Amino acid sequence: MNLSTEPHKRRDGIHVPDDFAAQLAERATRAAVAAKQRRTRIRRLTWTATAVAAVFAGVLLSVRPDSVPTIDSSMQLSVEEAWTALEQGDVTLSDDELLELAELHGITSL
Amino acid sequence: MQLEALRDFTELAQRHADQWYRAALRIVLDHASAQDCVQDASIKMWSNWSSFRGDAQRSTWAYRFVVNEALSAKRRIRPVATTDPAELAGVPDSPYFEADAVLTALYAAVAQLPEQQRLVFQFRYFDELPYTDIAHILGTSQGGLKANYHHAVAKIKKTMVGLNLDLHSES
Repeated sequence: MNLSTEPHKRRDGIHVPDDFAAQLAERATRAAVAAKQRRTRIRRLTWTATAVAAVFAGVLLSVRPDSVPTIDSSMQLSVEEAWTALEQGDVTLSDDELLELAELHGITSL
Repeated sequence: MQLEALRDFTELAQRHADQWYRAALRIVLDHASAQDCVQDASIKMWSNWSSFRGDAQRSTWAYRFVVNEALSAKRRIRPVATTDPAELAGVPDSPYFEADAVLTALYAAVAQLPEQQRLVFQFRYFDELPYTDIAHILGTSQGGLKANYHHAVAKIKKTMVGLNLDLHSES
């Protein structure tokens, strides 16, 4: 190709000094290399973050079934106990909650 | 391998930086913007270095990045047609640009051309590139380029009548 290295006839009137051309080439090269390194680093970081997230999610999923809180049956409240607590005024219920509890307890009139 | 590529890229930049700058400057018409174009084009060149298919020479392939970058920059800088007389004159604003009255008139005539004709004329007349290379740079056929150059020269000659500028026209 004739994008030549020979001295230009400079028909376009643009006379680029050698030192400016050398500086321009150096700046351009340095910027290009730095940009590629930055992209590579970002890509590596993204992959690392993705991998860490995937491992963490995997660990979480494998651990989760055991760590789900379960209800201890000795701590469960029977309907009778709830009704007694209500009668003793230890708890207050809304009308709907009261009706639901009465129905469960087989009470037809309050 | 990477080191060898970097050496080749550095050498290419050293050999052609002045030409990249001149091509960019003639498009964006501004010294700082032209330098930015060369830098941005270099970044793209290096990041695409391994994708070079060898269907043209490296220097032609690289030149295309510079031209595309400069055209994009020009559209960013001046998205609409300017009414500024200085810009309409199409004269580069650079400490490295010197022109007599004839060259200034030539730039003004070139500035009036449609983009494709202007580019073809600049590559052919200013850079003396062969049509095969210009075809690679602009991604068009040689026939179309020759027609564009012919029209460009005819229009410029018409504009320059009386200035006695030899454009070394060709068909």
